[in-house]
Amino acid sequence: MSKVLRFFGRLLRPNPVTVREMKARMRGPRAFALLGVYLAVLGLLTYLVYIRSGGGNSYSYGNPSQVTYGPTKSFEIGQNLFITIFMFLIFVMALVAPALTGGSISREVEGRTYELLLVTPINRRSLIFGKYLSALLYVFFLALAAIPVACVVFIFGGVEPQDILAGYAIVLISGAAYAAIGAFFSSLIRRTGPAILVSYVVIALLIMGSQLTSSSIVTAINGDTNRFPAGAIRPDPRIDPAFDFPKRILVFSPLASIGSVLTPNAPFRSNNTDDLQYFPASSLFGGNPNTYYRQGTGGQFAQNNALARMPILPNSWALWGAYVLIYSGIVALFLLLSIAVARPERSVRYFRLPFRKPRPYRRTKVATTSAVNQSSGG
Amino acid sequence: MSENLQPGEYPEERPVEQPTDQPTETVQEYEIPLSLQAIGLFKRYARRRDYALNDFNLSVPTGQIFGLIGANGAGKTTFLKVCSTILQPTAGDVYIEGYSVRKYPNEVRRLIGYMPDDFGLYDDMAVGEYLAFFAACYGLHGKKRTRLVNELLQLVDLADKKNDSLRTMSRGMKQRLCLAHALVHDPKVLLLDEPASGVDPRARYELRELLRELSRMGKTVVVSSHVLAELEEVCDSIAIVQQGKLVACGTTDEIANNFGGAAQRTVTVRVLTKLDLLRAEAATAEFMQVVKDSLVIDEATRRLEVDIMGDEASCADFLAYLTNAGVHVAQFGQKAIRLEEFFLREEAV
Repeated sequence: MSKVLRFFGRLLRPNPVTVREMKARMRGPRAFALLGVYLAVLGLLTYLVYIRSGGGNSYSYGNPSQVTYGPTKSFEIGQNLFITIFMFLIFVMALVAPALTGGSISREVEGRTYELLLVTPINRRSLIFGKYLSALLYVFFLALAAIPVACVVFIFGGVEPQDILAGYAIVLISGAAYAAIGAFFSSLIRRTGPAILVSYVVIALLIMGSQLTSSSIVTAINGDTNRFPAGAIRPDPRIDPAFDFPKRILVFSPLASIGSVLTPNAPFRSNNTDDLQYFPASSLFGGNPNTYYRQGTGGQFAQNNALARMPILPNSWALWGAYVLIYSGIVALFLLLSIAVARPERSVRYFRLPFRKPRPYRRTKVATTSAVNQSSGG
Repeated sequence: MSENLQPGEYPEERPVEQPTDQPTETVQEYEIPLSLQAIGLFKRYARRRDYALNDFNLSVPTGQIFGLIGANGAGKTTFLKVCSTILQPTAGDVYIEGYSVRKYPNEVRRLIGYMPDDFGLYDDMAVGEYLAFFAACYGLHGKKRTRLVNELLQLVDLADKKNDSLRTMSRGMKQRLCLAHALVHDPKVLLLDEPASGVDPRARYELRELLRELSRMGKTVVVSSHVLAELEEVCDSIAIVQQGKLVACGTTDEIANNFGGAAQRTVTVRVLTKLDLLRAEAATAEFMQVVKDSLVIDEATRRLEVDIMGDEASCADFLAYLTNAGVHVAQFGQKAIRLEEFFLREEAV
């Protein structure tokens, strides 16, 4: 019984590394200044999107010269704000999380405190977990501080409370993954500046790379469709299974995942490609729906929109759900890797070719006498 | 054989096969309990051909202050890092209080306090917080930890600086704080790497006193330095390390006797007149135990300096010889040749 109690007591007792890191981070005005600036920028951005979406005007939808001119659609303001706020949060995660964990091992090595910690019972694992946890808590704190702003969308509608929860799931798991990537490169490179830089590059590839790959494949398939005779029905990218693969690649993209949260509720408009705005595989590629619609307007296939909103992943997984699952795996992978490469002695074992084995020490000249101190002075 | 050892057991000195009817010579037969024992230790760094530690064997009895002397790059720091489980030995093993650093690193970490040569401090912390952090790393919490931190600060004489930022500390204070951090968990063995480097003589004196105090508390202290003079007085015994090998081990006198045959001493004589100087020169040439070509004469101050083979008695003989030769000796001094000078000379040869 007491063993069980002790086990839970140890679980509840905070890792001393975490406590130290958090104390050090919150000391001084920097952490609070960052929070203030970040919330101010988020508020300003929200306001700009609100104005741009026609907020404050009752009859401002579109342009008076267009047929789409009509009354302001409140739910669209809400959905625009939702997309804006959560994409902003993703970018904040991508900027802040690697900067916090990018020094987890390298700063100890640079500050020559790593060896002091290694000889304590704090092993590499709890050292990295401790630092990771403290960075994560601050990053989560930043994300959750935006809840009041995020809840502004409920004034306008178009977004359900569970959508906000899904958005936060995406943002928090992204932050966790970016922090893990930062921790990994910190252990691998051992210099804070380069570690943070490389983490930024990898994260940029994760955010943009999947979208670029996906849109390239879509363009390639569309190029093939030129072989169809004029007037024949071309494959509709929204429902044609040939386009499933590029859509599935988007499971790595946090921005497409945020778009996919709203997809089931996206408004159906028969004469406007705006409908595809929240569809993960269209405007989030780079904003050009013509990638999909090589001929004519979207209206031609508008009746297929309802079908197109069906999930493209197996087992009816929503894109964002699969995203959360995959990024949990990324978190675990990079944390384990960072523990593996955080050994104090940089072994060449990871990099050495298998046939280049170290020479056995017997070949070198070994002293014949060995001085063992059997007598003692005292 | 040594693979089947249980924690706390001592290993065999050498895994050699011996007839069963004869008693095997094991380390357990030593009457002196050993705190630290290195057996056949080899260490080679990755991508290096030479060995930083080459068949390094060392035994440190419990409660001693043990000095490791060697030039830079001799392998002192490598040895201490292997002992403190930071580095893995390439071959061989080190036993701290009977625990192998290879097999029981966690147990070893609780037994040792390590103070690196080149250490950093968390600049964003206060002195008390720093110690409290390391105490927390060893699982100490609450009132016990507060009391311990205060006691340690008392011990290293930093009690009045408890709330000062580490950024404002001098080098000597940092050394003392680092020593205090190594004592947080009441270790049995202290491994101190160049603790006296870069501090002023007063701080060095205080450090020596501190080491003696720790030795009185029953701790084994292994301390390294590249200057023998720093350790000569405080150490019970010393070991001299050259190119990853232990070349000499024992008390200072033992080493002086075992290596270099009879010890050498330098004698300085001041005489009254110039005539005495000439007589002294002639007498020195006749005296048997004078080291050849070691005579240096300074006519301005009427001093002569000469190396004598042998101990104090030989020097006294030399004085008597001078007096018999009619030299008026105004001042007579003698000093033992520094052991490190001797080893530096050896290295050159």
